[in-house]
Amino acid sequence: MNRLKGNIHSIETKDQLSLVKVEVKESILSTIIVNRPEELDYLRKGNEVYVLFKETEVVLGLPELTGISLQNRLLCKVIDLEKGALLCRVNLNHPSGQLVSIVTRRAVEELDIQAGSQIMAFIKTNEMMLSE
Amino acid sequence: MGEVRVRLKKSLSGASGLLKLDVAFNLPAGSFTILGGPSGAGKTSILRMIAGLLKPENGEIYVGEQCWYDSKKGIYLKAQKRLQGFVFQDYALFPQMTIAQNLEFAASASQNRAKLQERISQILEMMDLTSLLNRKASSLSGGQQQRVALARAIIRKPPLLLLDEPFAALDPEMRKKMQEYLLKLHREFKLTTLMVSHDQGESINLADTIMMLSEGKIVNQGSPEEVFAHSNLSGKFRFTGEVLSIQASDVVFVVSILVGKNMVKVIVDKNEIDQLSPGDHVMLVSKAFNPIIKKIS
Repeated sequence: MNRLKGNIHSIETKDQLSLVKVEVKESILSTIIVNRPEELDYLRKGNEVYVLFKETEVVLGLPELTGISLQNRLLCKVIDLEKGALLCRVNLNHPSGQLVSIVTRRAVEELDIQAGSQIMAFIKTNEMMLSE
Repeated sequence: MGEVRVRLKKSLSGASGLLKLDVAFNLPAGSFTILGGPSGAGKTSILRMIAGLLKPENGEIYVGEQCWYDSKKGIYLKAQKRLQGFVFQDYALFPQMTIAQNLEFAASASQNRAKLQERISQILEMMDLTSLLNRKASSLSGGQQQRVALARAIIRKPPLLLLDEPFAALDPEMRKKMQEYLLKLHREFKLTTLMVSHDQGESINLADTIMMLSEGKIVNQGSPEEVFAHSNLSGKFRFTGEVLSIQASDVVFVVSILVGKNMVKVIVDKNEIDQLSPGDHVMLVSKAFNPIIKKIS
């Protein structure tokens, strides 16, 4: 589980859903959760929270990639790669912390991702969880 | 034996000044409760007051119909009269006595020798101690000594078993084994157990109920999942289960988990795999957005 620390930047609520934006270093991440602010006491603007997301939900793309719906983008540097037969585990460094992406080996080879590469990590808004 | 009802008040002088202990709780018969919280919160003092080793200022302790302490009625039973099992972090065995002598000494107040012997052998067998019977206590390892201490504590059929961080000094592997022995005893003898522990994994493995203590007050109480996970994670798709197996697969791990009667599989990254082993009780969390619903009728 990837875990980045940040502060709640804004909260937008509609019916049972809240779209929560969290400011981490050099990026703003958005997460959509099935909670209203009155149900979760730490859901307050400015509060320190963690955003959590699974390694297998991190999409990798080239930094110049445009025209894509994914809202959460973290420009990272590749620390190293661990290549398996089918999958590849990519260790990434972002100013807000380290994260891991698990993608197919094929994708890594097609994008020519190597240690030291600049890469954009994308995470879908509905794949992010919040924790205190 | 019946439910244990506890209400205690006492001012204690702790490391960080005066502590006003004020707690009230019930332990249902046969339940396993873990008392957690930071050092100096008053956990050990609560155990000592229940055991009769520390006198409260006021309150009451009832075990079923039996009154151990009631400040209004002026009742205060001495520790020897309360007949509870108590296990501390240090084993407190008689080092020069054999295991058999240590156990018989604990049981000497009891009358019926034949029944007692039968109970002793049952406990020894359950705890794999039979082969150590004639060894001197001082010649045993820490884990073995603590197993004997646990056996000794339940020989007299205590209506309440009190454990004060009994496994804190043991290495992780031994601790896990001791937890298994303890659960076996707890279930077999339908004990009511109150244990102090700092270890979250231990609490999840053993307890029905967790009470978190802070500065002399109970600040959070509930099942392990309520206390440790429900409170602060936004994920809505949650189940508790038991880890059955872990298999390395390519660069990830496949963890099989028994949830109710169903086995599920979860992909786990190696960063988290060190903390998991078969038998662990875990919570599975996902977002409400992920599952797909398929009608089966």
